[in-house]
Parts: sequence; C-alpha cells; structure tokens
Amino acid sequence: MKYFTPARYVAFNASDDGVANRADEEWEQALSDYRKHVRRIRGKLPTSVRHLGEKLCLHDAEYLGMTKISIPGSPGDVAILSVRAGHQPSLLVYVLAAEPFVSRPLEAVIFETTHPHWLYDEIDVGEDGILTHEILLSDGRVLKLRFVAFDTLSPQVALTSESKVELSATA
Amino acid sequence: MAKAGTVTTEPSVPTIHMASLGSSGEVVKGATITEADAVIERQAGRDVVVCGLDLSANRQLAGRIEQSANGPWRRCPPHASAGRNSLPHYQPQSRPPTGHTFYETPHRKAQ
Repeated sequence: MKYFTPARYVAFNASDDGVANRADEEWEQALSDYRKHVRRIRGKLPTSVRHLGEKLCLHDAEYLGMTKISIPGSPGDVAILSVRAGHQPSLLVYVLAAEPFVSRPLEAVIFETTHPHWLYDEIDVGEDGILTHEILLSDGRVLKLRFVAFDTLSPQVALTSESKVELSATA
Repeated sequence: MAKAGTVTTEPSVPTIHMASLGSSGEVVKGATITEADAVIERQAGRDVVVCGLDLSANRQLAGRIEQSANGPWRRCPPHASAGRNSLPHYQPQSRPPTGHTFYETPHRKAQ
C-alpha cells in the first residue's frame, strides 16, 4: 500500500501523544494524496471499480475470507472476497491477472488477529491497464489483487429474522 | 502573572455530545452530555463525539469513554470513502456494540 500503510495506521494508534499527533497530520496528507491519485486515474477505471473506490464503503465490514476458482473460458482465475457490512453480506468478484498476494508487512499489538475487519483500501491501475486493489485488514494482513474485471454481488439472506420467527412458531 | 504583551491561553476543555451521521459521512453533533452519559450511550451502541480545539485532549477523552464503555478499542483515522467531513474515531476491538466515539481534530470538525 502506498497511502494508508500499516505503519501509518500503527502510528495513528500510538499511545505517545507526539507520535499520534504527527500521524494524524500524515494521515491527512495521505488522504489528500490518495484523492488526487484517484482523480488522475479515474478515466481509466471501469464503472464498477470507480464505484468500489468512490462509493462502496467497506470500512469496518467483517472479512469472511477469499476463494479462488477457475472458470473455463474466463480470461483468468476468479477471486471472490466475502465481506459482511452490518447484516448485509457482499461478494467482491475479481477476474485475476495474477495470483492474489497476501502479506503481513508489520507486526503490532493493534493488529488483533481474531475476527478480521476491513480497515482501508487503495485502487490503482498500471500502464498496461491491469487494475490493483490493496486492502489492509484489522489483523495486519494486506491483500493485493491484480485484476482485469470486477463486480460486486449482494446475495439476499434467504431467511429474514421475521421468517425465522414464523418458522419457529409453526414448527 | 503574565507579563505585559504576552498572550496567555486557557487550556481547551473538550465537550461531549450525542452524535449522528449525516448523509455525506459528516458527524452531526447534538446535545451536550456528561462523560458518564457518554459511556452509557456507547454501551447502548450509539455514537458520541468529543469536540474541542486540543487534539490530544479530544483523543484522550474519547479513548477514555470508549475504554470505560466497551473495553478494548481500536482508533481509526478517517477513510477515503466516508467523505471529506468524516472524523477519526474509537470503536470496540470486536463488534457488537455498534457505534463510534468520534473526536475532532484541527482539520475536521463535527457539524
């Protein structure tokens, strides 16, 4: 990640006031730089990726896992990230240009390893048109996906709480 | 006693408010509440915001509220997709409860 790096996040969470205050300033600069970056590349992004970068707020969404599958006839393997924001599950579907890369660049106490959540993410596009999505999770992992196509799916939960009540009432 | 020509400033005392989220990610502050009330609000999963001029004082008070209300926390800087007026916040290390303890910074204010 170039902007919302694990190191900046750790510094933001520092107990030392001076460190935390400097990190606050650095984060403001990173936000400003990232917005300029997105404006620069916006014209090269497919609509679905623009939506991902500008509208879809997954901060604090529960990260449920990643699956990779091969689909005959597809230009590449497909990676599916499962997340849940509130009670709403979402699937992020990437047609891959390369193997997903998972790293843990920094060990820190703030990176709590149970129940990982989505913290921050960045989008980029290379000269070759390959798109990149990097995601910092609350357990310190950084997921890096290089892809050529993207879409989101929001599967509806089959049973609402009301229907569960009805079912249990009639059982 | 301050010398003539020098400027003395009172330390900024943060205030705590009920809070809600606006449609563009901004934090809208409501009625002023006490720290004890803020802890109760946070335990119930509702948002509160700490306002003031001193970043360190705001952050420390917000952290104390979240710690008292919900125990282990993490502190999250504003995120790009939440809009230009989003505020940094504390939240429980694991959910539930929902909600956030927001705090103001020199760059970001509640509405």
